[in-house]
Amino acid sequence: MKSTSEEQRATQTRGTDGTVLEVESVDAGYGEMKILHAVSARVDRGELVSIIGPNGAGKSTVLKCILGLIKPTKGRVLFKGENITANAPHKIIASGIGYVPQGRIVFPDMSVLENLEMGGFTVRDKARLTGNLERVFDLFPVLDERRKQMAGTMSGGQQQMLAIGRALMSGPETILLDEPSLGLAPRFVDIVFEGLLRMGQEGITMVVVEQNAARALEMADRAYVLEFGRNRFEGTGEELLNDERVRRLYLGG
Amino acid sequence: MTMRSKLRLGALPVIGVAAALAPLFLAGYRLVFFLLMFLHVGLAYSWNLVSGFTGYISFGHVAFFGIGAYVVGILSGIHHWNWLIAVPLAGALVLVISLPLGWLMLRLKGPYFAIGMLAVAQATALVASLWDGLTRGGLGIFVSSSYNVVGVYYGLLIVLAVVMGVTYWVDNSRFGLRLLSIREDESAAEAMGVDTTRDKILAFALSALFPGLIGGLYAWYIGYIDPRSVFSLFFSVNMILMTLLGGAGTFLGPLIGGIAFTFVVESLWVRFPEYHLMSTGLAVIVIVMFIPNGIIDVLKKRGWLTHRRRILTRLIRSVETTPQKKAEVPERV
Repeated sequence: MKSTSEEQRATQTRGTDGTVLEVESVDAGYGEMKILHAVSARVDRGELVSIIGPNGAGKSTVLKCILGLIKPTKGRVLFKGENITANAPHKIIASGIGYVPQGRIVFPDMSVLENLEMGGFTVRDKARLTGNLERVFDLFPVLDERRKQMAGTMSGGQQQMLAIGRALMSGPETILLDEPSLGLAPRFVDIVFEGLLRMGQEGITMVVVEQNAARALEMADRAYVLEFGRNRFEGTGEELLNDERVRRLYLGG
Repeated sequence: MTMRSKLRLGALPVIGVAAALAPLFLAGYRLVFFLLMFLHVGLAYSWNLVSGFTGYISFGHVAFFGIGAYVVGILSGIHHWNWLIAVPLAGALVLVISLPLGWLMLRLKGPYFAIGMLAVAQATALVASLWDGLTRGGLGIFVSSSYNVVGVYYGLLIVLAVVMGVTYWVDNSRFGLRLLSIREDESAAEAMGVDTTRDKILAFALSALFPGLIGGLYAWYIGYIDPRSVFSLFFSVNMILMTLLGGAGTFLGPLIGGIAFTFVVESLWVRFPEYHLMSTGLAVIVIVMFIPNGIIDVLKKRGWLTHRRRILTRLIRSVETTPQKKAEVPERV
C-alpha cells in the first residue's frame, strides 16, 4: 500500500494501457459547497474498484463527476483515454458507462419487463436486446420469475436487482454503482454482491461506492478510501482489509 | 396493441369524416357546440403533451393561448391581415417563444414548475394590459366583424387532427418512451442516458404550439379579445381538468375528458349560468377523489380497453414466445 502522493506519481508514469477510467485530481461540489479536493482514482479494464469512506466523504460525488452530472471545477475525467469532463451525462452514458443510482430507483408503475425494456431503449438491434435480457435473467433469475410484476410492489432487494439489470440492458462495458447494498436485508446483500462478482467474471468493469466497507473490500480488486473529500488510503482490497488504520477507522475493529 | 383497440382506433377516421361533413347538416348553436368541443379537446391534447407525458404540471398554458389570440387580434383586427395567414403566424411565434421559455422554466421541478408557469401566464397577461401601443391594453381589440363559424370550425378540426396525430406518434415512439421515463423518475431516466433537458424542451414546445394556434382561431371566432378574457386562468385549469378526467399521458384520455367536459359545462352553462364555475371546482374534487387516473384507467381496469404501448412490447412479445425459466419442463419422450 502506498500513500496518495506516491500513487499519484506512479499513475503519471504508468501510462494508460488497460486503464478504462481515470479521475485526475478533481475538485467538485454543489454550488458554494466544495466536496472533493484533488481526488484521483484509476480503474483498469475488468477491475472491480470499490470506493469507501464515511458519510459525506464524497463517494457518490466522485461517481457524479464521472457521469457529468456534476462538473468538476478543477481536474479532469478520462474514459478510454478521452477527456469526458465537459460532456453531457447522456453522451457519457451512451459512450458505454452504465449507472445504477443510489436508492434502487426503478419505474414503480411499470412491470419488470417494461423497466428492462426502458433500460435498453438505445439498443435498436432486437437480437442484441434479447441477448442482453437473457444475460440479465441469467444473473438474477428472480427477475425472470417476476416478469410481469409491477416494480413498485417488489421487495427492496428485488428492486435493486432490477435497477442493476436495467443498467445492463444497454450492454455497457463499465458500470458505476452507488451504494447497491443500502437498506437491503443481509440475504439480498449477498445476492446482489454475488451478482456483481459474476458480472466481473463476464469482464464488466465496475466501480462500486459502498458504506458496507468490509464487504466492499472483500470483493474489490482495488479500493480507494475517501475522507472529507480527499484520498486517504488506497490499495488492493486485501491490503486495505488487513491494514491496521483502515480496520480501526472503518471496519470497527 | 391488440386487435380490439385497433378496431376502436379505426373508428377515429370515420368520426373525423363525419366531423368534416357536419357543417353541411348543422348550424347555429349545434355547430358552435362542436366547435367548442374541438377547442376544449385540442387544448387538453396540447397540455397532455408536456404535462401528461413528462409529469411537469403546467398551470400557465393559457399564456400560449393568449399570445396566439393576441397575434391574430393585432394582425387581423388592427392591421386587417387575412386570418388564414395570421393564425399560422400565431402558432409560429408561440413556438419560437416556447423554446427559450422551456429551457428556462424546465429547470424547475414539481410544484416550482407549476407555480413558475402560473407566473409566466400572469406576466404575459400584464404585458398585454400594459403594452397598449401594441395591444390597446384594457380596451381590447375588435378582431373581426364577420362571424365565421364554419371557417373556425374547420380550422379547429384540422388543429385537433394534427395534435391527435402528434400524440399518437408520441405515445408509440422512443421519444414518448423517454418522456414517460422522465415522468416516472427523472434521475433514473438520466441514469439510463436520456437527454432529459432536450426531450423536455421538445415536448414543451410541441405542447405550446397548439394552444397558440387554437388561441388564434378563438380570437377570430369570438370577435373581441381583451387581456382578462384570453388570459383567464380558467383556460389553464380546464386543460388540466379535462386531461385528468380522461387520463393523463394517454392517447385517448384528452379526447374522452374533453368531450365529457364540454357536455357538462355547456349543459350547466345553459341551465345554471350562475353555478357553472362552482361546478368546475366540484368536478376537480370528485375526479381527484374517485378517479385520480382518469376514465381511461377505469376502462382499462374493467377490461373494456386494452391498449398497450407498442414500443414497450418488443421484449414482451419476444419473451412471451419462450416459456419462463421456472416453467421449463424438459421434454423427454
